[in-house]
Amino acid sequence: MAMKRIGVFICHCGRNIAGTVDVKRVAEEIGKREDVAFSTTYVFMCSQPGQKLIEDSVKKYNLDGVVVANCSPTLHEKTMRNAAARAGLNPYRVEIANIREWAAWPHEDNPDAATRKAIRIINATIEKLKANASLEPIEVPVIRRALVIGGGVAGMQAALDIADSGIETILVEKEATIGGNMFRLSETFPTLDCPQCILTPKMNDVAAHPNIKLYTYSEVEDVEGFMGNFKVKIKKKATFVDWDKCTGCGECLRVCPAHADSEFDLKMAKRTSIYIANEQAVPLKALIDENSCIRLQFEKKVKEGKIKPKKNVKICSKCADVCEPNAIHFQNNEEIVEEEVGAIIVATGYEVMPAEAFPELGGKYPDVITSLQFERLLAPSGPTAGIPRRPSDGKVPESIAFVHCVGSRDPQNGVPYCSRICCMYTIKQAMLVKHAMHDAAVYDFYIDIRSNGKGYEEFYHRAKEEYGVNFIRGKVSKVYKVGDKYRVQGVDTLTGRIVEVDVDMVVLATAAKGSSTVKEIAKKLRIPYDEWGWLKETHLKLKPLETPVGGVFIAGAAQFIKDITDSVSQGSGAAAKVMALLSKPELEKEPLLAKVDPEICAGCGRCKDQCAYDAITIDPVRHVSVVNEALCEGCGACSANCPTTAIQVVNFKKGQVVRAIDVLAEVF
Amino acid sequence: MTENEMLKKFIKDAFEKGLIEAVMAPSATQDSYTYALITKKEDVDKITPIAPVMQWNGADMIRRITKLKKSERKLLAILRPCESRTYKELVKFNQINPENIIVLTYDCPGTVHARNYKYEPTSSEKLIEDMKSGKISKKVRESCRVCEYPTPIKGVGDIGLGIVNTNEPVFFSLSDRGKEFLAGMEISEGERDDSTWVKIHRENREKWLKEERITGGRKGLEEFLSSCLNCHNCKDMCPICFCKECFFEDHSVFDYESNKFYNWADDKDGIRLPTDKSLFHVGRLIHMGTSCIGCGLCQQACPMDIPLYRLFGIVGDDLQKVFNYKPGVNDDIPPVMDFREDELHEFEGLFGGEE
Repeated sequence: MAMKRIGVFICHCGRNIAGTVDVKRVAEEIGKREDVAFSTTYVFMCSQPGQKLIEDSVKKYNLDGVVVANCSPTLHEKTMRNAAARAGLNPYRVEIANIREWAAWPHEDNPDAATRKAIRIINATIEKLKANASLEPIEVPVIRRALVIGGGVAGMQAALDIADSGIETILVEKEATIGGNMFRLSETFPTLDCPQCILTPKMNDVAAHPNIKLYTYSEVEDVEGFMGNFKVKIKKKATFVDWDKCTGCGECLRVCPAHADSEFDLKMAKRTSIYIANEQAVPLKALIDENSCIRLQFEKKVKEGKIKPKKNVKICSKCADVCEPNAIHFQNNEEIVEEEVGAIIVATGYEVMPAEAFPELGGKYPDVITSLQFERLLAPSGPTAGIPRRPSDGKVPESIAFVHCVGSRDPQNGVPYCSRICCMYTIKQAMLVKHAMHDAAVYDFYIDIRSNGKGYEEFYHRAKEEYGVNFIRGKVSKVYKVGDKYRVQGVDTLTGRIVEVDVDMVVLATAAKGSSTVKEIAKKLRIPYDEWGWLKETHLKLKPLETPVGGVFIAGAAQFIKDITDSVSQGSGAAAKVMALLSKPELEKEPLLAKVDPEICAGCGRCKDQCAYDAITIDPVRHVSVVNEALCEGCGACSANCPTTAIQVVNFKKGQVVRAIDVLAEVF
Repeated sequence: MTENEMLKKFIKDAFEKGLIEAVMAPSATQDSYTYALITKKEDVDKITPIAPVMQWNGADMIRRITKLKKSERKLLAILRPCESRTYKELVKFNQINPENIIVLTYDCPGTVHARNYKYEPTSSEKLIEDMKSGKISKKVRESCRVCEYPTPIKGVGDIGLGIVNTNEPVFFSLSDRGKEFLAGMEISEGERDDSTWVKIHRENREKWLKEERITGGRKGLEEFLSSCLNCHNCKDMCPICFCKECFFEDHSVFDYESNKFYNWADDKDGIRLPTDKSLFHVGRLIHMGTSCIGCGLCQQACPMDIPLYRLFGIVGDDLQKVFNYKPGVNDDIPPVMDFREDELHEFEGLFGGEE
């Protein structure tokens, strides 16, 4: 039944609203309505006295509906609903009229129009409110387990924090070891810690934690279900080695005759075909790369009928021959395991654009590499033991040029945004080169130095003053080969001169992008991502860890490129979100969900195909749509695509919305 | 033996061989033709498989039969090519359960407007004669003259009957089930070339798409619809409009308080009553446009003789081109049911939106 005793509360928001909108006049105009029992203004409706005003008025005037005219409902809808609920009014009989962002702010120059518009917005909101139903939250049971996707520093931190709270956590990592990109780094800015030293304790904690179940060399294959109740299929990729038996002794690596590029060293070194990701890998287990193993390639070709094996031919089995525990079986042991969890954190990290993407900057030459590759050459545990050598001839370079903003801040050739970490790591790399080779000439081409972190600016000055790195402010336009050297052509915008230097190596700080596998995962989880592969948070400022899918959170560089400090903080933050979610035996869910009128529904399935949450099925017997309330997020895409609006979101019914639009669309 | 006699014999044989237990086909009434559902071999003579009039869309009839439950008997449905495309489109929309149904379709000579037929009857045989001589009869409806697919298409329906360009009509299969069926009937599949018959229709269509487009924007549209009675007959006859309750007949949306009428009148210097007439047509177009298979029944249904197919058919054709979708001719998913990450880029920013 339509409401007849509505209370309207108009917020001044200090001068934010009252400075432009004549709130007194608004209250008077609205007060004239037959269905409005009470209307008033108050300086801050969100303050404690403001909330008290709602509580008292609901009781005093026996209100059956409340409109609060203030700011965006994303800020204080819940505050106002709770206030009304404390006075005994169903919270879904409270609506927000956003007169700050919609009337006061955009029309500061025209107070009269802003006031009339505010009245219009409130009238429209009252029209919508009048047909609101009283609703009760929906209760959904919760599985007290969590899944973390990505075993980099953010994912590990999240898994450790959740596990420490007593919740069983599953950590899935696509590579053969946890550690992520951080484990590839030489040293970290601005403290110059060795990541291998500071990260290994965390990696070992993950491996040894009684509440963490670790799947490395595994990928999330499929996700079903909803907040509190996800069913996840995890694919354990084929290793051809029995990891229960493998001791990680490395004997097999010494005899393997086949080689391929090392994933861990980002093509800066070769590894054997049977390999362990790196010497400190967790878990320390060997696996065979099917594509380069002589035996597996041979067996594959035989299976495909491409070659016929001769009798008595001895196929390579050198690794298996030396394996004492008999762990190497050459059998494809790919396996799908299923896990049930209540919450998911996506921490899939980042990638950098390859040097090859920038041929004009010499990306095609072997000695022009990305900064991440250069990290491996600087790392004491890396293929060159910390003294960089040219990939082409192994020579120790006497001069190196670093180029900032390669692809970053460059929408034509790369990405429009600043990749955030490049300034600092490039400064660090320049410093480390100077540290290892005092006489090396180091040129650092930058547009601006962005050093906005604790201790970052000081770090930059150390590089300039203590280490004598040549910082040149200006872009590099071209890198080409001259004899044995690479000529870097740039400009020094401080002196206005063209600069040309001949160097032995060029390091490109290429733009960061989301992990290449993230889009697949995002689709499985039904969470949004942008064109650069960054996962989209619900609100950049206030909900940076949340996604629109309940129970799915994001952490670390998967959301946007960030440094270690921020990644670790986000890992802990997302973990706290998960712990809060899983701390209750049952979850309360907003009841503002889609509902089907089976009398009208023709069962055509247009809603089903629009549903991003797989919440809709067609009942085969009644031949109508059915909504799974636990899955539905109330977005309304189904309703918009239903030709007859047989499916509608509760309290957003067509009559309500159309009447609100009618009011808004009247002649102004 | 005429094509109709031949088909009736085919149906009787199918009954006899136990390949079917029912047939749905047109049947003559006093002034027109309706669809008849026949379950006994002796009743087959009551039907006229190829009728000169299409009063209803046959796929719409099958929708009624199988809406709640699949066909419990083996049913043979004789459908015109446009109806067989409708059939396929309605299967996609979950409105027809195709299990247990065999669809037979044929080279179509077109149909006469139902009202014209009432006052000036003609026979299918005459229309077929014209077709065989390569002419589209002047009597047939506008939508038939500009039909894009006047002959059976592989994958749409199960059995085709070729009539043009052949001395004796030939049966051929359109699907695996059709192949099996014909084998069961001990009929060997034949061939005929229908390209000329298709070509003259396509030429007509191209010309029609250019010349009959409603121009003049909103005013042109209002003029085009000016005699509309708001009877919603076009919607009732449209096989794609399968909703149980039309949005445009929903009183929670289309009942207004008096002030709304007055405000409109203020704003627009007077309004026409009843309101929402053009809105109904435009709204319907949005709902069914991408799936309009071109049967033209909207136009036949209009009591005021508004050539509605020029609206729904031509704008529908535009929409279908935008989404690269042809309703009812293949297994593509209708654009309204499909999520495509990359689409409509050519329209981005068209309305002053951000890039």
